[in-house]
Amino acid sequence: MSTSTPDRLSGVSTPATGPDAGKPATARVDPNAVTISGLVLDPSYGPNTIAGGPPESLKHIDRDLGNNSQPGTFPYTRGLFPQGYRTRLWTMRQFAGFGSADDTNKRFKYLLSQAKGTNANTGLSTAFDLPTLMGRDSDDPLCVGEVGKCGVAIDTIEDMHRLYADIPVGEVTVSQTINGPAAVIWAMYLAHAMQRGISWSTLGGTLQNDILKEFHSQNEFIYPPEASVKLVVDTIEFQSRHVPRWNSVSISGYHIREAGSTATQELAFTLRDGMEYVEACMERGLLIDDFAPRLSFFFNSHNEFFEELCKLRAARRIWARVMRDRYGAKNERSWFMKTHVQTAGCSLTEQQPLNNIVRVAYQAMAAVLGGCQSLHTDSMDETLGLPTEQAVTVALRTQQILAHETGVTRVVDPLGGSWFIEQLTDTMEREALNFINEIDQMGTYADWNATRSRGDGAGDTLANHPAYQSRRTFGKSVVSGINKGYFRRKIAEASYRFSEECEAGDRIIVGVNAYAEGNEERPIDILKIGEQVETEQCERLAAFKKRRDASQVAKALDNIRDVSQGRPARHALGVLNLGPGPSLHATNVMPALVEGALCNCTLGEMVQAMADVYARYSGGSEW
Amino acid sequence: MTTSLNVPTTEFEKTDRCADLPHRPRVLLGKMGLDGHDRGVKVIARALRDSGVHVIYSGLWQTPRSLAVSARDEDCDVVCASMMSNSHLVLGPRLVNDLRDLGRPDIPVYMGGILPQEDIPKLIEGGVSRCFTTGVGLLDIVEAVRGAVKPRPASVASSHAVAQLARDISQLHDAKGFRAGAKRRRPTRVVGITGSPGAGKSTLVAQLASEFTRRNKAEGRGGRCAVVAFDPMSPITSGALLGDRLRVDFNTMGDSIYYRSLAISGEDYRALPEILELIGGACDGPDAFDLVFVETVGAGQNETRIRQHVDRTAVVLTPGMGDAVQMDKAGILEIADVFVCNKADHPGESDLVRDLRDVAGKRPIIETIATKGQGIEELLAAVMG
Repeated sequence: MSTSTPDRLSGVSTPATGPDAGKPATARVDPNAVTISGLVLDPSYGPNTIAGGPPESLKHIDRDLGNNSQPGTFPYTRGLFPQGYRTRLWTMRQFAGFGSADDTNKRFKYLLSQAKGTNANTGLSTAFDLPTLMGRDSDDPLCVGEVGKCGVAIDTIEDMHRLYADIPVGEVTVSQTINGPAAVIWAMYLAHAMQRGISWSTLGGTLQNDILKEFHSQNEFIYPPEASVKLVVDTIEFQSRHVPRWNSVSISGYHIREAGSTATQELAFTLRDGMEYVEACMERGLLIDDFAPRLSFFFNSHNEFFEELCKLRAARRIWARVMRDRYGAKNERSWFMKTHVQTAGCSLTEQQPLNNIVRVAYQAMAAVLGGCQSLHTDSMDETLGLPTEQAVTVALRTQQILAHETGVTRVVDPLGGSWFIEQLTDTMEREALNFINEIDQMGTYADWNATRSRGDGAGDTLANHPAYQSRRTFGKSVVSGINKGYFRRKIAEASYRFSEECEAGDRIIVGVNAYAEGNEERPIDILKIGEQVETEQCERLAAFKKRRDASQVAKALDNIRDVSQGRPARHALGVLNLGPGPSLHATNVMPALVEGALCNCTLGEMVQAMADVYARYSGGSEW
Repeated sequence: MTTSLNVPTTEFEKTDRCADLPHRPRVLLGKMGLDGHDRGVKVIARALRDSGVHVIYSGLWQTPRSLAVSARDEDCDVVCASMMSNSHLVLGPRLVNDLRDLGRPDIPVYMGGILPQEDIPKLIEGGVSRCFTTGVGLLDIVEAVRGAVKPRPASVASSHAVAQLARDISQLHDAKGFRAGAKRRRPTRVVGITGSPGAGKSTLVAQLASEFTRRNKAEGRGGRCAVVAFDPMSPITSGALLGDRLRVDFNTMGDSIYYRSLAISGEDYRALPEILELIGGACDGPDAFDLVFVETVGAGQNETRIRQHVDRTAVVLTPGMGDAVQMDKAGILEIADVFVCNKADHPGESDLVRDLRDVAGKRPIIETIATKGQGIEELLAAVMG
């Protein structure tokens, strides 16, 4: 054990004699390094921190031992940064949104106020209601009963202003969980910032914008797969040119896991989706190092503690290798698998809801030991409805206790080097690569074919796995897999398997199929959204439509249709000047969407304008 | 070394848990509203099928009205609505009302998902029969479905013609014969659509029905179309998953078509001629069902019996099946009156069309992309001709 005791302070010289004996002569010890008992810890431990090199018992475990065994070095299995959370704590990003824009604005302000005075990084994460997520205005007949229920209702740029009113969006990072209509919502957000006089270069945040996982799992798609991927490429290109601090896509395994996949499937499908976007962007002509640093990920943290943290370790390793070796990225930042993590909503139980606090705490710890960059902890009442303020507060406190009291932040990847952890990480990497390879086979690559591949990933040659071998063209493998029903089938199989095991009692779920208490009274309150939210939102929308300049709206919508069809926009609206700089691809619809938002087009209108060109997708194979 | 186990440690046993009931249960599983969370509904669909239930899945994004239409047309014993998006208090009672309006107030509505305890009395008051919250076991759900199965009287509770048609078909399919007084008439045109699983038959049928309806409306003509879609029945449990109707957009089609899913073993189309007569006789005048599409089980190359029962047979093929065309000159290809090359935007399309030309003779080859509605007008013209 290389833990230093106070008389062997690491990195701090201690005078041996005199009045200051025993006290540090230089700056005080970093309080983040000191345990409750007063032991001072190094930021990381590995074979190189042991005098005389690694013990024999550890040598065979990790093929990355040696120079690669340290956090902050390729392939980053042990973490992206040498000092981990000592340099920067994870961002505590609590997902929030319900009712009207004003209701959610109030909740945002509450969340920000709860984190004041700490060194925690607090960001906002916006939950939209189902009509918004499906790109429909609140007055659409299909939206009856759904407005403001599962998130906040946004129809217009005015709603966007009310949602982020008084929030310094140039300082606080803002995440937006939206996919099908992501380009339109982001355009509204950018337009709102413009009207507030906030420069796009200061805007930080994340657009979820991961349409592929919608086809696999969550079903919030609008357009067919290929057109949907094109829109994602548009946003990535626009971000790389005009909104430098924004994370353009949050490539999400969370929903895949919630839909019932295994951890390894979540790992593989998510990374492969990311690779699909990379290939599509390269085909557009974007340089990988221009956009890849702004791709980020979003994983689930489920109950199986070690599997979850190994999943994040494996994800970092795979992404780094894929980006460097398969796609030829040169910038280290392009190799980074940065990830947001959310605890597993599907693991929470309606029965004995207070138990969920404990589940969430363990899941959160797994995410932190796995090295996440930001974290959402679920509220205990999420199986009952939208979280109450009290439940949200307990969830946030769970993270704060983890960050400030448990000491897990002192040392990066503290479990690295464990026989179990390293082997489990390797196994998950291997299984994920095999899935990735299987998906690759469904695509067609001009510059690669299976028969030329070296190695099969057997034995200790994972770095030679076909999934890591160089190719630079767009194989459309994931799109092809979607059309074949591959992902849905795999996930449905895994989900059914889990249900079978629960039914048989092979898996114990406390309070549900064991330790149940019968007819218990629910000890917590739940948040109710009144039907007046829908009425008021529809009234606001009607008034907005009455006030605006209808001819500008019509022109802006024409332009969106034109550009979507690959034609130049026919009207000059004069509301947006992107200034000098590298031009966008001619079919990039983002400028037309920002103009649409500035001209007061509604979400539903802009989404429909693109649907006129791309058509709406009704879903692929169900089973 | 860790290895992965791809099968459950204990499987949910596939067994007929419904053999003792008056008839095989028919359950409509539905998702209303915009919510796409379908993990639960899919698990339940499978558990019910593996217990011997005939499960009809509505697909996503249904309105209360479209779900009620499906329940009526399929003559279901129960509608199970999965609700996760906090809109249950609005949509649940509407579903109950719509079932009443459409002539089937007797079909019970079960609701499951994220349902707060204090809302349950309100749902019951609104006419929902039973509510299930999270954590209910699979066998409990099977038991609840069994509890909804009551002996079917020959006549339904209302005088609604289509509700009665649905019941008449159920009785016939269960070999209980014709209802006394049931009107019978062979529809003007019966079209069989056959082809391998995954060829896109359901989507094509949905598009054809939609195109027929659109055209009739545009030309101010009466006459409706109907669809009979066959799916295979499990030889072990007699259960079935009937998922074809989810390709039809009932939110826009509503009552303008009649769609019925039926499970059979093998190619047992015995009851079909009489079912067709019931459909033809059910309604008169502008509401009459003149055109019926029959979608086959999709058993593959040797599925040729459908031809005896229909006026025109369309055989659906997809690119990449060129070899099959070469090899199978005496099977399914022989019964085609029209060839459909679906998914014409997929690679290998020209190979397929070329190979088909060798065997087609004078029979037309129509290229379609069913998911985009392309080639549908031509196909409709070809099967109507």
